[in-house]
Amino acid sequence: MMEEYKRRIELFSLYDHTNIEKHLEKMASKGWMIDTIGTTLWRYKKIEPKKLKFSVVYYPKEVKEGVIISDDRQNFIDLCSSGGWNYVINSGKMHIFSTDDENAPPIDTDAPIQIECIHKFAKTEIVYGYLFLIIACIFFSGFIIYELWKEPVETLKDATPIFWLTPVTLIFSVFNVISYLNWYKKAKTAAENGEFTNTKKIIRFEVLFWFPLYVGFGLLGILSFMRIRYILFTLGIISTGIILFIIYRAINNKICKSERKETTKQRLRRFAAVTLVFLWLGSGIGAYTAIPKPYYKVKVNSEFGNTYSREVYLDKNAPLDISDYKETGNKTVSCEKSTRELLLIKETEWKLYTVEDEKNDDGLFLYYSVTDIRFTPLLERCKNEIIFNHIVYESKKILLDTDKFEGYRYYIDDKTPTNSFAFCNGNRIITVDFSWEPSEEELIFAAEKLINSQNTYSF
Amino acid sequence: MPRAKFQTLTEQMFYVLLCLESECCGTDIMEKIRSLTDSRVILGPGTLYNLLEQFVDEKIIVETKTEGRRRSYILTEKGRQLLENEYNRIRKQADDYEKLFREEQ
Repeated sequence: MMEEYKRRIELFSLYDHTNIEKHLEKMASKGWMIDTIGTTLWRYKKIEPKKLKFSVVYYPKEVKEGVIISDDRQNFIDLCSSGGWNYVINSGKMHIFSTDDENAPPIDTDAPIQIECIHKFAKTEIVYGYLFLIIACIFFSGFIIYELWKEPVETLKDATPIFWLTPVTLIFSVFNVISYLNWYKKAKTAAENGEFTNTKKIIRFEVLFWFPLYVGFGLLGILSFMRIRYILFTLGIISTGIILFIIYRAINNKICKSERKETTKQRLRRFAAVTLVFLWLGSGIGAYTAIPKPYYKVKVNSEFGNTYSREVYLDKNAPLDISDYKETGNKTVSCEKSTRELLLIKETEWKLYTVEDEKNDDGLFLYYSVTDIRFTPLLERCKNEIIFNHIVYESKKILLDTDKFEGYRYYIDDKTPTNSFAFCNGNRIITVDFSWEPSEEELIFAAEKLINSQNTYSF
Repeated sequence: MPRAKFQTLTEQMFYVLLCLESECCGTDIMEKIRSLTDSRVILGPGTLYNLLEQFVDEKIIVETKTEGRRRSYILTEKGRQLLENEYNRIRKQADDYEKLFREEQ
């Protein structure tokens, strides 16, 4: 007969012997015997359902994986066997024994010794493991903070969910280490009085966060040119799908305990189906919201005589229009708006241009962006990034007949001015590109309109 | 385990040392304790393993021979002294108890 296996994601902390024992007993009574233990994926082998007692004990010496069981460890296993316990498997120092003898004496009968063994195990496998994770998170957060300091607008604009997942992972990891140390302190005091302390179930949630982190990395590669909300939407919906699936499975397992038994294949197939549906939904909604609407295409005659199509965007309510300055007559004006919003920074960009036969096109355009810095300490850094340390241009302050805001003009080199300008007022930074050389009145008009414009964001 | 811990012995430690008065292997120790105490004292195999390791480290007992994976141990002079001190301590406790309660009667 073919041996049947099933795999499950288990989020136990490995020092949590109390709950691992309970869990394995439950699995055995359902006909599944633990077979291998991975970091999160555990494999079970099909057996006749039976009532078994499990004991999780921690071998106090080093265990070198991949090496044949040392004589000393075998001695430990033999000793436990002679006490009526059958060796099942081990994962490093953690050894699992089972017995069908209800009256078999426990393997650990001395609380201080048990705590000492658990702590030896936890120190190497849990605390140091988490320390590594915490150091990695701190390093990563440090890197993000450095980027934020250097180029706050760019970093925040393209900030990925990773940015927010790192601190979350960090919080969970720190929480788990603290919970363990807390338990250890309590258990050690109790052990001095000869009492055993059960471990509390601490779910390693950070594992759940690592998963979207990987997905996030993957998506980032493909979608980095898209808007942040696309990624957020997709990720949000995928995570919701996974969470719903986990809840569904938990309920399903509770309701039909014995009536319906699924094979691993069926389970995987259903998991894949649910994930796909949500992935599809996520991408769909994401893509739908990412496309600037409404827009249509027009045929334009190029100066070489052929025609091509050009998109015309019809975003409404642009705070500043080309027609505020120039006569556009019956020319079509395309108006495209894009917004990126994060907790600390919101940036709205408008691109307005006339769409006409290129032959006769006088190429009018007006591009402007409004960036609101909600976190004041970042303001100076943002000004540096946008105005003073511009990648291509140099900036020079210009004197305008107003004291309401500061004005700057970008220069290609020291002497060649461009038609690009920047303005600052309070927490708002504005850039404007004209297709013509604006007069001072025109500049002040643009700055005042944009300074007073609403930078609202709508989904 | 800190050295100070062996200044007084727990019941389980006491019986392990008592059994090792003559050469004995781990499995026999568990059996011996059970029959000696009429199952009053139960010694878990994991605990026994750790105790034997610690006793050997502290030179309280010594490994005598290894047959296959079976290891036998026996008390050292230090271990004998420790056991005797413990016996005297318990004895003194019993004497004090008797002194007080007999006088009352």
